[in-house]
Amino acid sequence: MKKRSYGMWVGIAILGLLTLAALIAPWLTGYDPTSQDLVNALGKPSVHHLLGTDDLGRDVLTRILYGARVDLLVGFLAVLFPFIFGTALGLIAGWFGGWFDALLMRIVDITIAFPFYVLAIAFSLVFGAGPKSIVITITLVGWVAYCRIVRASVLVVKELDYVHAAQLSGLPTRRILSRHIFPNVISQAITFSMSDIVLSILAIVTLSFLGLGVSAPTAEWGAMIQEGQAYILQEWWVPFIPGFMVVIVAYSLSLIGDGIVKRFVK
Amino acid sequence: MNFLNYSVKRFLQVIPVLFGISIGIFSLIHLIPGDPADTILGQRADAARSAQIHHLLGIDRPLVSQYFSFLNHIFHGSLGNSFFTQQPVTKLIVGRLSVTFFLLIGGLLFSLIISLPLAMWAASKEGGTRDQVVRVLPIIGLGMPQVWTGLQLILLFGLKLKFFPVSGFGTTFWQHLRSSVLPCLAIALSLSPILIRSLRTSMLNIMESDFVLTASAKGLKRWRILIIHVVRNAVIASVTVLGVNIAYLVGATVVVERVFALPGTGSMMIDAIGSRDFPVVQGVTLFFAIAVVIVNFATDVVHAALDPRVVIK
Amino acid sequence: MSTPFLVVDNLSVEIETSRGLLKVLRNVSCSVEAGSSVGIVGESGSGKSMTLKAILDLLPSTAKYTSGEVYLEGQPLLAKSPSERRALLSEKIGIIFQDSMTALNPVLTVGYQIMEAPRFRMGWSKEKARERAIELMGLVGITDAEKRLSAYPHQLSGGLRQRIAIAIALAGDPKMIFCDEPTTALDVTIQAQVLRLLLDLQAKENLGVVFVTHDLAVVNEICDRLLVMYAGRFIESGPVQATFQNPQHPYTYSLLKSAPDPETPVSRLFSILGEPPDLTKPLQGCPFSPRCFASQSDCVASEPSIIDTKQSVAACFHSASFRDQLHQIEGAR
Repeated sequence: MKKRSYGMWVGIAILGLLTLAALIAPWLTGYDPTSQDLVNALGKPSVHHLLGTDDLGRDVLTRILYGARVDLLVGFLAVLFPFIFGTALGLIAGWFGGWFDALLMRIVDITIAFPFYVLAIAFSLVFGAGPKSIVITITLVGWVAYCRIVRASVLVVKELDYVHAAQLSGLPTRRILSRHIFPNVISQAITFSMSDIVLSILAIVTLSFLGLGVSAPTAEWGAMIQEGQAYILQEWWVPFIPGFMVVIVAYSLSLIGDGIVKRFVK
Repeated sequence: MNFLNYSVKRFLQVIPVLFGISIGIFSLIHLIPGDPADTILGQRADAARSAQIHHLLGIDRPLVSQYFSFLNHIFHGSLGNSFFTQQPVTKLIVGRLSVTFFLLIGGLLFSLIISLPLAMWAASKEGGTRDQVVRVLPIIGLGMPQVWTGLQLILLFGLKLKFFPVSGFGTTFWQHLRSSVLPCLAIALSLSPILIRSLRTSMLNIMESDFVLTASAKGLKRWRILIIHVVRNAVIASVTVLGVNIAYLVGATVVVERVFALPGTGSMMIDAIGSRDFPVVQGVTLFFAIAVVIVNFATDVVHAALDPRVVIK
Repeated sequence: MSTPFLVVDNLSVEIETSRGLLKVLRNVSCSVEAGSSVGIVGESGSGKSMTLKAILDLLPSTAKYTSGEVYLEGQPLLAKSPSERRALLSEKIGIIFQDSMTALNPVLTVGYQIMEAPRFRMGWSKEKARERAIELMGLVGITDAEKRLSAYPHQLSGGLRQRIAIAIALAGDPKMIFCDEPTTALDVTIQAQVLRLLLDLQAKENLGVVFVTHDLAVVNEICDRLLVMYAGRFIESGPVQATFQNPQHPYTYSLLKSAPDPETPVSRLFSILGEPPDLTKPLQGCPFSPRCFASQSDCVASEPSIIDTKQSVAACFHSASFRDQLHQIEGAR
């Protein structure tokens, strides 16, 4: 009994729909995410407000969609730089080895000693709170994982016979790296990037909750959780829904990641 | 002899990392774009205060001499004084340590209690229903922001069921314990997805390995096989997995402290951001980084004690 | 006539895999007398190791018995409870595996692992077990036994580890020992030593041996009887020498032919074209027919089978005539 792997498509569908909804948000809901309507504050989900309203009368659904813009964008972008830097460094270190590799590994050891959130909090003082400092923190810390993954892959692949064959036939190093090594090590990095995006989104959500991310009144899931904290007993959906959105996004991304593994990793 | 040998060598590896950390922390203040005094003082900046800050931070001296005086202070156990309260940072950290400790240890314990049995349960029949269930859990778990999980726990067990207090740490030891349950659970729910994945793989390797078959073939009782053969190898694998995730555990603890309004080192650090209390921020960061390195060292040493195969390369 | 020591009757095993339900053993039957030595040969994936594990109840959790029974000294094993089954098996049969590094627990000393069965299954005292361990180590040719007791597996060489594995298997005082390709991972000189040891033990202790391998030369040295396995089933059975000289099944013939003999130069190396069948799919007729040089129309229609006896028998409709067909083909070149 074979199972068709439809998982990846479910993930793409969910994520795609959400991204689309976020993009066309103004046309979808008609509400402004920051306009207050104190008379209707903390309203239950209704025909007018499908997900209810928050403590300042703002429509929750609209804020979720606008929040998706921030969180998804930051999540994806923040992973881009570590991916590129980390992969490049890992390729070089794994292939050439030597003092560069040794030095790089020392730097890696030092970097991973710092818990991410501790650094993120510290950097928010250094660089000023906001998405910018979060992206900087993620870049400064996140490259390590890609570097290690790619380096480990390179170490394995470079001992394979067809690489020896390419070397013997006199191919220039640049070509060997780009044609033979790179395609084989990149798949693990891509798989990891899926869960890394989840971690980035979690980072901006958590840091915004702590007051170190986006500033009010910008709509963002973490900020929404923080704003809804006080009302958790009666209007539980206000802090619940934004966090739940993160869970959905994370689940879709992992479905996509698994699908990529099944399809492209032999 | 081999074990001592290993411990010493491993410790020697720790030293350059500690220096690296000190350099990293040192450069924190120099990373601030523009005049650090502006960032630190914020709106209160003026020429006189800036000059004070400059002198306090020693920025008016050459870089190298600054670094050495920084190191000097650390070796004498001083992390500077809080801008806000003028108290020595070290004293402030120590004052709040017990809370953070409770959470770290509790979080770790809860994580193990959740992850290890689940991993073993899943591994007992690879691909079976229980395995599939256990494989889905981490996916959902990883997507749950700790702050959100914490809030839901507060809602359910704190506010609705009123089992546990939802904030504060209490004064007696018993109150400390009660106040720690929900935060530790939140931490555990955040760490467990990662642990479950690694542990499940390790368990599968162990349970399907030939030496377990050999033990079965010898006719040993199942509990004996489980405890002597499986668990011992499982613990070794767990120690490794835990060591690798210590930094993550610390990060989760810092954040959870805030959600539950616990007076720990983490929430102190977050408060310090608001009051722009740079020495506190710097001090806590240094403290945590060193703590992670030391715990990693300790984990490696424990691992070496348990596993006769370990050698330093 | 006394009951044979071990009788496998129509045993079938299926394993759940991601590709589907794999029928690893398909109506496997054989009988083994006490003190005899039997070799099971076949390609990888033919089911040789699975046969051993199926008999000893050491199958993975994804496996299932779908038919048949195993009789140990006349007792039906599958009908018993798992603990009874385990008790009977561990008393009578020991096993050694291919990779001694993974067959030994890396965190326990070698001595402990040898003493384990005597102490905890047989109830001996620690001192008595220790003496026996030293004795066994001597038996398997390990010098300096007392010192070696406290060694860990990774500290020993491959050959030494395999001897320890044999000592462990013998510690339970079995009547028969199953060997799952124990010499494949060793280099030739060590392999020879281990084989000689097994021969010794057979002779001295009247130990039965069931030896699984893909190496025909090894079977030649150790075994009296040969069972050839293909696609999850025995397709030939007979005395080793007789079968080598005069194989009854085209597959056995091909196997023998494809092992190059350094003394007989050939212009071309013989190899069997094609691959073994996919056991997740239902089989049509004789599973070897797609690759068989002697196959005819009746080979695809139904599957031949054998009843294992001490004579030479083969699961082939054309065992008498396939050699003629081969000569025809070779003559035509």
